[in-house]
Amino acid sequence: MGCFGRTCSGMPEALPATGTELSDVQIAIWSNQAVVVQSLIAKRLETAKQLRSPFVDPLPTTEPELTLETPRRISVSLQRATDAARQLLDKPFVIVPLFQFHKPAQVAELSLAGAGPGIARASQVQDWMDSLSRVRPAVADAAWAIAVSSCMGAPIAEPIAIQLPRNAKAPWIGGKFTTPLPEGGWLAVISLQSALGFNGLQCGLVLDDWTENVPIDKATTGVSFHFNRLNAIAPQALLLAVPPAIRGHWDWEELKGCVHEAFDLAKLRAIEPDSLTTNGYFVGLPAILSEFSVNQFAHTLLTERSAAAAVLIKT
Amino acid sequence: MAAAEFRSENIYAFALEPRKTVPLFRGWNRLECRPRIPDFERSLKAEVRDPLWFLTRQWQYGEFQGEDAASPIDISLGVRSAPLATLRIGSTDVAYDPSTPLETRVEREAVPFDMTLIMQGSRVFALALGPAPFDKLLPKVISHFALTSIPGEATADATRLRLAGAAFLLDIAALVTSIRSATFGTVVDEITKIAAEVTALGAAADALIDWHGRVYGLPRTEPSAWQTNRLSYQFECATAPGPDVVSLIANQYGGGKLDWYNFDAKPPAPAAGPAFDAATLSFLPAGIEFAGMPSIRYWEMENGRTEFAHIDANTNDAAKLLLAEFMLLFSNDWCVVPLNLNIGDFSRVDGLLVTDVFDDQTWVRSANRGAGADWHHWSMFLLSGDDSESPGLFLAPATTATIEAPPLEEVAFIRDEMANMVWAIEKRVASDLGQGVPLASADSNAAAAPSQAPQTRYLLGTSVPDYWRPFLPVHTPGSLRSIRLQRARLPGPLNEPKAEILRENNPYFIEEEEIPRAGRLVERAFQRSRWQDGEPFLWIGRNSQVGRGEGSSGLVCDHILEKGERNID
Repeated sequence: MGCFGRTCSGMPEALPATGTELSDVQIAIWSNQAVVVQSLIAKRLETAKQLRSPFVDPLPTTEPELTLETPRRISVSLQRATDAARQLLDKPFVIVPLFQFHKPAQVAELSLAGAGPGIARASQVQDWMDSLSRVRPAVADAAWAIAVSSCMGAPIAEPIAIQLPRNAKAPWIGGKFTTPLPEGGWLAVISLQSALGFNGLQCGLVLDDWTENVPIDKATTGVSFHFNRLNAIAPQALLLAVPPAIRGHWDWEELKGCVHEAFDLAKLRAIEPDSLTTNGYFVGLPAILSEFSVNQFAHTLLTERSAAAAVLIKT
Repeated sequence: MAAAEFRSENIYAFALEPRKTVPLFRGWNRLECRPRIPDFERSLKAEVRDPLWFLTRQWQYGEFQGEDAASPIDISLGVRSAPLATLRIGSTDVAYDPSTPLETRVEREAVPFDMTLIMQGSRVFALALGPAPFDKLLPKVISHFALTSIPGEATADATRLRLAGAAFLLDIAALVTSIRSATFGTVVDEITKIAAEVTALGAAADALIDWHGRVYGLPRTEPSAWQTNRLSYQFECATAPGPDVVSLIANQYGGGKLDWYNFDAKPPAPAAGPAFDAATLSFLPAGIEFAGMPSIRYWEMENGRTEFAHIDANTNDAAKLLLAEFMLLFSNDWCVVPLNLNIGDFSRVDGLLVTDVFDDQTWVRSANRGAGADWHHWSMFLLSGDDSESPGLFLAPATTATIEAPPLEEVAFIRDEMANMVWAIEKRVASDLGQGVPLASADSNAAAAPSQAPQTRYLLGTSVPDYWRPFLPVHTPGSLRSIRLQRARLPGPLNEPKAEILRENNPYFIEEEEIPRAGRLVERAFQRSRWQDGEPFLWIGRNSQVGRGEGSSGLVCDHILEKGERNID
């Protein structure tokens, strides 16, 4: 019955709901169900058709609008195509993109089979999968699928391993190293190969991925100890001493004087405004205080000019 | 007041007209700098406008203060190391094998011949037997080693897969036993007399045994390190006999990650033999660095994610305050030297000879100088019981990253205060497919379903599911006070536990303190890891951890149910 076929295409409603025997009543029920299913299909087709409608606006002819618009349309078209397929075949439907290797010969070289017998035997890849299938359920499912597929009349080819980056001297990273493993990160891809090999159009699903760490045989530890070091730190400024009179040689007292003077000048910079309020200088120092009063001269800034004004007022 | 009135002509006009006197009440505000834009980028650049300002700040912070101290310039370090030599599990001494991770060696259990192993082994045997003409031998081998019973909880998936793979699935358990016990030759004689076929079958048998050893490890020869009464592993390892010999005991290793803190040191009586390998190493000292460490440079910015200045400490948090002070004030007095050690070695640092810039030498010894130290000390990486004046450091030969499968078995030990007993609940058991499957309703801690009693009635006792195993308190021999827990069973037909964790010979005791109030959860799972030479190791290990709280079985006996009372709360 045609309805059975529809159930595999994301339409569980098409599955005959009742009846195990052929009778006129049952045929009438199924016929009605087929009509309903037919209308559902027509509705879905209509929605999908709307989604697949082409762009009506013409493409821009000038740059950079053209460069921006083209990938946007591709992206939108892809999304609409996915939506249309999901309308027809139900929501879990996934589009698996097809791709093509630019240089299939190079990819074939990356596989361990292409790298020659020095790196890994097929049994090592098999051991790897056998071992991993006990800790990674997805790998176990793949292993069962491979094992049972030949009995079901649709054998899946034996898995092949691809190791990146390509290094002819590197050992197979999935097993015991026959030669020291160069430092760095490595990627091994187990591919359940199709009959086409690496030529032609390809597509694939990632079944599982995981990280394996190989421990090192040495560790860098640290011994820390307390030793009372100086807290003094070298000056963070360079003192360029110039003698007051050029005599062709330095005088020790002059050098000491330069250093002392530099530090006296430095210490002067440490004077806080609070220190100034204790003596009489602060009223005369510029940009330290601001005067305010209730008259029209309020908030006169006590700069040199305003100080002069203040003197004028007093006189 | 309009700004125009501040113009100088106004001031002069006011000054030249003295009759317009205004009472003058003057005050003074100190001018303070205030940023007028929210952008601090330029300020943080610390552009040098006045180099003397740097000196000022350094002087203010006391960075020019002279001290009677010196900077270290050279460090000589004396270190002694030795690898592990022996491993003791139970009362059996075995040689330590550095080519196997320690936890693999300790934890490894026999892997059951479940459907997954049977499928893998059958494929290996079939592939080793090869294509035609020897493939015709496979049905004959299957007829001798037909698949019968498979260990584990029966699942529909396994039944389906068994049907699907009937053409190649063998009883690998029987086949491996037959090959190992050298009875396979008899079977081969019954199958064929042709020399080439006999050779092919022999080669396939060898390939199967090799594969089993490579993937699942060789059969365990030493006793199990799992202490059934402690629900943890116990083992001991030691360096080679000699004057420096050290014994390391792991008493309460619950599975999971094995590291230095699982071990206690016990210096056994020195015996004749070589001393540890001693070496003197010379280093240039380097100051320690840690996140949030105050930077000594004016223009260096500390990492804002760790700020010890913002520690939220009360006045009674003395330890926290001391730590903050140590970090902020004395961090520059600590130096560090690198020390490369072999994984699996036990090492002792005898001390450091520090030479400073004035050529003075100082012998720096460990702060933890054994039991003789007159203060209570604590130190990271220090093993309990290591009372040597030169404290040791043990780099456990354990794996760094282990892939752990979903648990095969999960048994929860819970305290049931109402029933005054401990229950072991088999939450998950191994299936015949080699995966963990939950037992029905095992996730619920409340076992029996309550029912509405229509009227007052007498209840002889409630029942609990058969996967709840009771443990009753019994006296410890020779003591009237201390108790331990003994496995019991509820009235009814004998029902053996399905979880390997509970399949112990009678009587099965668990020490009372091992089941805390929060209970204990013991899991059994496949684990896989790589070792230093890349070799993968796959084993079944256990993991014991604190549980998730108390539970109630609802078990009551000899009870009168009032009308309307629910029989179990």
